[in-house]
Amino acid sequence: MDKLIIQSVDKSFGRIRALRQASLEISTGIFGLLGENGAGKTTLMRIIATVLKPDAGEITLGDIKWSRDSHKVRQILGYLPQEFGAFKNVTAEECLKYIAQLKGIRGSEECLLQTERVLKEVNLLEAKDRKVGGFSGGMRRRLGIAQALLNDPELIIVDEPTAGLDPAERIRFRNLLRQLGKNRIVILSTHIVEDIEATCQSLAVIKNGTSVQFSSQQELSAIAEGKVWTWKLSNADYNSLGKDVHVVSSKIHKEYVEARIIAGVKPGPEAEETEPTIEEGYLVWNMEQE
Amino acid sequence: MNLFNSIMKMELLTYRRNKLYYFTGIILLLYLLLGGYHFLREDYMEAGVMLQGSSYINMSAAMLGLFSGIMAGRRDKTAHFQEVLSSLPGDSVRPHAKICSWFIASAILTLLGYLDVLVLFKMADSEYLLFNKEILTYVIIYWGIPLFSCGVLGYFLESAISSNRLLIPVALLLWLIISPFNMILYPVLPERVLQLLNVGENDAQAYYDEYSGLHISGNYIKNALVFLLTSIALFISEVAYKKRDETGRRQKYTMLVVILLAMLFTCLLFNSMNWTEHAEDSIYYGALDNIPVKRSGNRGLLIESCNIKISFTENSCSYIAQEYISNIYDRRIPFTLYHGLEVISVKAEDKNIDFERKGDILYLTLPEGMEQSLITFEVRGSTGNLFPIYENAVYISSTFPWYPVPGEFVIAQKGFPYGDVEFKNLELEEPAKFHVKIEGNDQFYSNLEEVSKNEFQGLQKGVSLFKGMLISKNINGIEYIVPPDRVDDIISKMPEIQGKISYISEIIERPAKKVPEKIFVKPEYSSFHQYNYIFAQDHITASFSRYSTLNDIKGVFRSFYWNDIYREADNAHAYIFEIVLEYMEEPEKEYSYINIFATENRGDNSEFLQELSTEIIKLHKLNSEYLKELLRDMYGEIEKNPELPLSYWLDKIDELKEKG
Repeated sequence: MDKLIIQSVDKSFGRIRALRQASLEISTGIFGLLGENGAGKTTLMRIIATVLKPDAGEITLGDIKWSRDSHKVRQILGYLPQEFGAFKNVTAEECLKYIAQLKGIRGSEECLLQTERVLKEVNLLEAKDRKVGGFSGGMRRRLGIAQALLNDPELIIVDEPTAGLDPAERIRFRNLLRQLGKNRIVILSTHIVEDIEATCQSLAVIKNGTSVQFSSQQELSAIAEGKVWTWKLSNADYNSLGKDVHVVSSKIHKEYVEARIIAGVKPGPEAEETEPTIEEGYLVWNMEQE
Repeated sequence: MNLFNSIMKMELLTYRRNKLYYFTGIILLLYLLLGGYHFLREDYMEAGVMLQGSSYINMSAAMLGLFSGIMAGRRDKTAHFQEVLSSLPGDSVRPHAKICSWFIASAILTLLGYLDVLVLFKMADSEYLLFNKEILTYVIIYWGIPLFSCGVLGYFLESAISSNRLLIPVALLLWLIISPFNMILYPVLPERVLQLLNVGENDAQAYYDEYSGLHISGNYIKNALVFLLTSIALFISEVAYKKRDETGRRQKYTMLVVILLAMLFTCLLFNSMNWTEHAEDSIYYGALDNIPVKRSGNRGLLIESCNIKISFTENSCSYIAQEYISNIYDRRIPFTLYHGLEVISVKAEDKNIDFERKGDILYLTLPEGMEQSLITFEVRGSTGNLFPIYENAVYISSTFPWYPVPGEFVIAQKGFPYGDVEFKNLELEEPAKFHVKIEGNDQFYSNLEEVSKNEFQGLQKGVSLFKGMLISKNINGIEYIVPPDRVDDIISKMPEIQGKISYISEIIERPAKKVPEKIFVKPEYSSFHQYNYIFAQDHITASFSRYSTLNDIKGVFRSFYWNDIYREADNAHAYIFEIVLEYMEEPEKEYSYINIFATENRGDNSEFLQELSTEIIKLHKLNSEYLKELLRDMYGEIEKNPELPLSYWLDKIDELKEKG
């Protein structure tokens, strides 16, 4: 399958420059887009989803150009935005049938077939006759992914899909996403590193509208190599750690606290250098950018 | 097209599932039921008033439309569905599909309203049901179009104004500006602009004229269409602007063409709207103070036959009248024709002849030696403001010279004592064979017999034509041409009218006039100042509204015993007969004219009236029979001598007093 190439995309909203020459090359599989709130992830997602037009730059997928072929793009695209909802008074099946028709699926039988297929995939088949207004947050999110799957799209864009979900739902969602990435390009935009860790083969980090691509999770985590320490401290010592000590995470045991710390040098005698995670790689990268 | 249909179906589904519209339907039904209870009473049915008084439905439709449009515009956003929909095919046609589905929803609600009205009228057994097409037109103009157009406007506002704080007040202000009560904004906005913006009745409290019926003529339809087209043009402009980056060139041109067409039609419609005021006859005839009451009359000129082919436009008529005239006594002969009707050409035996117009008199110069001739008149113009022509209503009386009447007569004179114009009866002295053909599909009625649709003929002294919201009923051999639901009311009033006629005939010792076998209703706006009848030889026309005082003896006298023929005597005499008759009915009545004039100076000739009234009262106190004698004698004297001065009344009273 062709690569999705994003080339020097710029986008401004008034004086705010949301994207600055963002460039990415994305192959088949699940691609993570990591960044803090306001970094420009959603803007980029919306541009790929043809909801917004870039001020400059181009996006291509094979011979499809976003600037020229937006109607074709919409036919091969599935998009789950950050906030997804549907008309409260329609059932899940009616909602999906509607989207199926918009995506060009003709014939009521074909529509029904596809609708039931995607509902089954997201485990909502039994709730197909329930009105969307009565769905929980997790069910709504699953309905969102279901509509994105209609017509078997080549490209799926998922923006912050697990935000607001409880842990069980979040795990369920990640499992679902993993299945999706087998034969298509899936772009997952999130600020939750665990989502990237659990699902993405390759990723990029976006900050202040600029993107940096990494070929693998390891490439990102390697940035923090030699800078991550585990330190077992007493409760009192832990509580008296200064603000300049960058504690990434801590596990509270009965008599001590095991802290993971980012520091250029060993923070204390009992501290031990440890293998960095993606999150730590991201944090170090972020600190270096600042 | 498939995308369009899919979006429409979903929009309609959201309307179907929205309880607000069911609630609206129920409220509409309840309101109409309330209206029905109030207006569709067994003793007095006011179906037309019920409809015309439905300004609140009109305003509610506008309000519902505005807020439905706003909700439709933000429905996707509110449901957090917009983002997904924007990434799918069909996004550029979505606004148009939404408006089309709103059209369907509006049409359903409008149809529901229409059916509710029909059912109510049916339950009340109202004859108004015979005008179901007019009712539908009214419901569409005043309920349906405002509902739909305001929905389009609401969508436009929602798209154009992003701030909620501004959107709601603007929507409410717009609702006020387009309502029937928008005159409270005068003079901030000019009156003409406010009238045009008003999507309801021009005057929410307006009296309903049963004759002309509902306000559904061309101007009202045009007003509604202007509003509709303007709202569509605004909507398309906004959509075109918002989607300018996404729409292709072809789509852009299409939208531009639609906007330009909408604006063009709006301008054309606006330009074609004609709210012409009819000429004020009181000004014309009031200025003719010194016209001699005595005219030369017709000096024997006769119409043997008269063929008229006539057509009516919004405010005027045009016709060709072929009159076969006999007893021609001179080359130069006069005809009387209302001055508002312009003579285009005159032919005698198919040859053009010279003619001269002096006010209401038309002089023809005939070839030598003609004793009889077929004279063809080509005429067009206005019939004035007593018999005005409107698009939805026509009333012209046989007593009015709307076709050339042979002879030289006075059509009207300044009335006594207040100067109102008073028209005389210009029916022919001898009947003629009339044949009238009216062009067009609207149903006309006439005193002549109908031989086919809008074709009438008969041997009569004149032709009356009627068009309005009227029905024809034949009851016990009497033909009634009346507004719906009025015939029983009219029949119930006839005995009292006949009673008054008999009473007057006894006093003046003249045969009691028989109420003819054709009774027509005439419009309120054509009431002969305060008098409600026109008595022609073969029919009477009367204002039979609930508030007309048909049993007023003054009106009965004037119509049946004064204006029954052309009288050269001053109408001031008629006035005196009337006030004396009124006094005789109830001498103690404080507000009878005699009692008022005896104590107050009012109108022209106030001194004379005061003196006369005082003498009348004295005469009555002396012997009440003397008043009868006074009226009887004066009636006879005036018949013999039309030029009798008013002062003769005082002389006659003195004579009777001396007798006492």
